Amino acid sequence: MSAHSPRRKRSPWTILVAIVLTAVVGFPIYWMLNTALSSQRVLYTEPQPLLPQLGNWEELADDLDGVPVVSMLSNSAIIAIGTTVLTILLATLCAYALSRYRFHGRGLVSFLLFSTQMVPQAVFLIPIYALFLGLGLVNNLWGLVLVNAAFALPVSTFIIKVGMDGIPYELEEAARVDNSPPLGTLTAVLLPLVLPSIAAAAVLAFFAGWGEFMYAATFVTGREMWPASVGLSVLAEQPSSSMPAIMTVATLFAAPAVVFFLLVQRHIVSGLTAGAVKG
Amino acid sequence: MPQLQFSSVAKSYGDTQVLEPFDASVDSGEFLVLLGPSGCGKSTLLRMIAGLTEITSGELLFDGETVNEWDVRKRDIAFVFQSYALYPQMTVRQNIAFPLVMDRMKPWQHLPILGSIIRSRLMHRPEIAGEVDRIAEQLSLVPYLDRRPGALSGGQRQRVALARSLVRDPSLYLLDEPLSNLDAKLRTQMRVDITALHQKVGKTFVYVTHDQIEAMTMATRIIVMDHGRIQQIGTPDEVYDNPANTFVATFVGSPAMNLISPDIVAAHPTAFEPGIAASGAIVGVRPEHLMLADEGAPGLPVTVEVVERTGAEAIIACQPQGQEGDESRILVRASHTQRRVMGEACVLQLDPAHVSLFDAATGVRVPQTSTVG
Repeated sequence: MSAHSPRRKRSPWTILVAIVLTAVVGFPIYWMLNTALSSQRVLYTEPQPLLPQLGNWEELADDLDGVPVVSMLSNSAIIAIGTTVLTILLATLCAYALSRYRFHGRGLVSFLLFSTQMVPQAVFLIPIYALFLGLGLVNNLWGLVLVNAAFALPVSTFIIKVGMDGIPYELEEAARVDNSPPLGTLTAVLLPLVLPSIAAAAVLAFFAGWGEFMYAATFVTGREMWPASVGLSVLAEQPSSSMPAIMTVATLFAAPAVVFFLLVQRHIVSGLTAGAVKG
Repeated sequence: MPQLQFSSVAKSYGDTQVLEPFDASVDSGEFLVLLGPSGCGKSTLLRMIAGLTEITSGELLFDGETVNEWDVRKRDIAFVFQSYALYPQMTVRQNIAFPLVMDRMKPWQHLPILGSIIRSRLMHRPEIAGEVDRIAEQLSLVPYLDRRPGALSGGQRQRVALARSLVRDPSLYLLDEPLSNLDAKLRTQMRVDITALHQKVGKTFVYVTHDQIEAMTMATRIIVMDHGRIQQIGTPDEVYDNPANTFVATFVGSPAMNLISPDIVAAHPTAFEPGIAASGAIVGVRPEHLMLADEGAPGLPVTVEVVERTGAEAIIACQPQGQEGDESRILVRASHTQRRVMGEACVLQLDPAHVSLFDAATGVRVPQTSTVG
């Protein structure tokens, strides 16, 4: 199933194009790191050095003093992980139903699910705020988890459904014959096979929760509840904030997402292309 | 071991009737083969026995008890799928152990993560590990126990599917064209293996195939089906020697039974027994019950069209003189020593003891006692 394609010899042109693309994509990240390690004085008085300056740790520590970096990142982590878990849980069950059961209104359910994607998220901001106010979910991280999961759910459901569509129904029938209850069939037979799709959906849900700004900025007012996206924005708006401090927080904000992506990137490609060709 | 009974069992999807009502029974320990061409409803019938497809009307009884509403798991069956339906993410060992592990798990133990931990622990229980080893030994799968199905050949996968069905010791085995994906040599070997397995376990087997050789060699009884209708139920010998209609006559047997049209019979009345010639029926005769004699002898004058030598025997295709086309072609199974050449004029002689007559309009078998004599 996981047969690797034979390693092809790459032409110099391919390598050159790869290097150029890597430079174009990687330069902003490098410049962010470079800026984070530079001195505020140098940045505003001299041309920025091309190589990172490693002697400004004390100045950086002073600049970050009072910035709630840990709480910002942990709040973002709670929102992102909560969004991922809730989205995957609901999307998997929803995808299973849409993939395997023939019921009246199945097409309508799919349409309604995707109709949420046709409207800009900002349109829902005020109604959801009003709703959450009554439910006590404003200024609450779980409120943001709910909102983010709701927006991530349709695409995640679709990705997992496509993965499930590619699994022969006979496997489920075999599991039934083998005395497996429906939950056992789902967890022991189906889920391991649909794992690439789940990984792809998980990455999308994680990023949706990790980087979300609009709802977080509106729903969360307390400084101790700021996720990193809001904290970083506030930090950047303050005239007293130093550029290295802003870029340090930006680096710390980007790092977990990059690491998470690198961990599951192999699954993402196979998950997103699941069902594209007959296997 | 249940005795199966079908009472007016039928299946339809909306207005489309895929299986017409029929009555039949299968005794304990029988090897019943459902035989028919693709789309005849045999797999649907098998799935109805398994509980994977709902019965539209009629009753299916296991030992006198109606099981129409029984869940698959309650029926105590094993089902070998045409595609084998092995779990690709599991090793051979895990595949074989799966039914035993499922039997021992409580509903709440199937939750994600917890379920995989419990399954892994159960796999190591001596009674499960021992049973898996025993079955693997029986089916020569020991060297492959830690491989995944993707790394196995078709025959090995087929044996894993059989092992998974055997491990739980069910009372009824249902096999849906399990040999259709194998090459000819392996199919012959597996045919022998499955027959031996049936004799060893002594349980009831219901086996679906479109291959009449499989049906003839393995079955204790055959149900021949076509277009959702039962054409004949009988032992392999009954089905072969006394086909109920022209469909069974031509579907069972390779080469098929020759059907000589009433026109040809009427044109050569002296070539047939007087009763047969006067019957106005289609004359059916197996290729091995025909003999070719030299021109001038009594019989049906024919011209040799093709001679196919298969080693031990030769299949000689003849055309009655004055006829042409596939419809009127007659095949003769002859000894390989018989030398005939294409275009040679011969005479075909029938063994009257092995002639079947079919109504020219309906194709249904006509009792010979009333027509011959």
